[in-house]
Amino acid sequence: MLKYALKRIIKALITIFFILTLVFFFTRMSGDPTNWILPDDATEEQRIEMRHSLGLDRPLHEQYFEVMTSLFTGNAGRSYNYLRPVSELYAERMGATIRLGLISFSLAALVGVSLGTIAAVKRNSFFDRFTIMISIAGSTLPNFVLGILLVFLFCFVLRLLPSGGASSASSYIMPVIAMAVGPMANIARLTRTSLLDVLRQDYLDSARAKGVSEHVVLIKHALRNALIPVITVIGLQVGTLVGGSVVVETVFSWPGIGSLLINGAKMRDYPIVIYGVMLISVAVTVMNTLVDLSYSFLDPRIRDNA
Amino acid sequence: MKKQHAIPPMIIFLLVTFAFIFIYSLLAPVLYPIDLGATDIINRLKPPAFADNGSSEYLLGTDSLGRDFFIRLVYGTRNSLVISLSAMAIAVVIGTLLGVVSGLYEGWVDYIISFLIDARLSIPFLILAIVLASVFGSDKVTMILIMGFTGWATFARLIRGQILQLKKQNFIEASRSMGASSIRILFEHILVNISSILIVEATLRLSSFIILESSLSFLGLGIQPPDTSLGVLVSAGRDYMLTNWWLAIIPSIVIVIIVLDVSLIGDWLRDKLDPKLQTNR
Repeated sequence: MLKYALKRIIKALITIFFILTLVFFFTRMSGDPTNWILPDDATEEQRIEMRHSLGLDRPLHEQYFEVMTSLFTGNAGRSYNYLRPVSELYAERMGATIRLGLISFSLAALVGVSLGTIAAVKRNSFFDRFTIMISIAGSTLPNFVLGILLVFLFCFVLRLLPSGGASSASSYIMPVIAMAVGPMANIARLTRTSLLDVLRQDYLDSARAKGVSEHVVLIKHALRNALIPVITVIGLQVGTLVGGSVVVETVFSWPGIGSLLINGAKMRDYPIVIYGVMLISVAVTVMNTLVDLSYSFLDPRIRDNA
Repeated sequence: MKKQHAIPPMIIFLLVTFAFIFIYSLLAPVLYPIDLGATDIINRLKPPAFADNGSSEYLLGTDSLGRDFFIRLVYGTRNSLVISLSAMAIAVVIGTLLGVVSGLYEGWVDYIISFLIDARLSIPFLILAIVLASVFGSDKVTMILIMGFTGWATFARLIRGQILQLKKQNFIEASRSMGASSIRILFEHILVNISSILIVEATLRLSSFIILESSLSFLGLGIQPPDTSLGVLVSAGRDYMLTNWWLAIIPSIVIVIIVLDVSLIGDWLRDKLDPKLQTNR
């Protein structure tokens, strides 16, 4: 088990290292940043000074080393536009994104598993068909479209909710829905399929024959096994959520890291882009590794095969 | 006995709808030969024909620069579909190539390709595309390349798995023992066997390419005005939601229709291919 865990963690570290290297070299390929930071008529002296103040005149390997260690040192250079350390900019906005992400993620997992379970137990009922329909619609609807439709309905037609910002509790409602619906639909769909598979197994009948009540059979015997593949999917939704947060934050003017990253990308503010990609790939990779490990913990067959 | 191979009416409807939208939008330059950049400020923000004070001159009214919104919608749909389909074609080719190579040659080649697949999948599709768009810009061709080069990994992973399974099958062994060359086995047995699963996966994934394109354009990192795409239209319409709601809502609904249409067809194809799923779903 320990060996397996170690192997996964080393692989995760190499992956992050690889992605960052790639992004670092991509962003350095696009030429001299002073070309788009400074006005066209800037003198060569001003350009040299700008390059110096942003640390761009240092040898490439030094810059590379700084970027690679910046997750631990927090020293990831200064933003070209805000002229402030990027780690500081991200730290200020991290909380809003994490709050939104956690609420959406919990909601998606909770509602998704519940919907999927009820649909499987009441197979072919109206509720089942309804769940299937909702989950197909939910998993295909792009979240910015959902966001726009929500704003139109709740803000402009019904005038119930604020269209953006993070000033009050009610401003969480629409962003959370826009972010949670996609992952929720995927989770519901998989829970249903997985539980239907398990419900056919003979060992449930033997549990019933022993006199175990139907509720206990469902929750302790069936759901527990059915949720193993679901956990993987729940873990994979973290990536979807992170990608989605960028869009949803833009739609709702949410003061989080997603909108910071987008504005950075639009203005070619590469320190912001690199640091953002690093945070995101670390978060997603850590989550995927945890899911992998928990999976093998829940299902011994996997860890023995590794 | 129930007919096994009949296509359900619902699917026929979806196919016809998609074909109509696709062909109609492809014909945009022929049907509406206009300059997308030309503006007509006097006629800005005219209401659509269905509104109380609308006229039939502009079916869906005009946008904030006085351009006919219906024509822009057709052009936008055209760009979104053409870019997504081209990008997907690139992703399928790269993915299949890497998947086949990685599945056939075990050892370090497989190791490297599998690592690339994992690395690519450990960062969300959209985030990677955002980074690439900010570095390389976003004219149409660049966008197709960016989306193609970010979307290959799921195809590669799928094909690799299929190849690994196929390699164990007896008929390939039999063919080899009868003296068939590797190339012949590849084309006659392996590619034929993975083609149906590839078609299903491509149909299922097409919606994510459409979503990616419209998201990038919505965020301002895709198609740039005056050219347009569904994402650009939604993004531009957002500013007029209070007075001219249709400018944002109609392109949103077009996106929903296209994406839902494609996904439902993909779902149906998958069920058709995998009878095991039919009892489950």
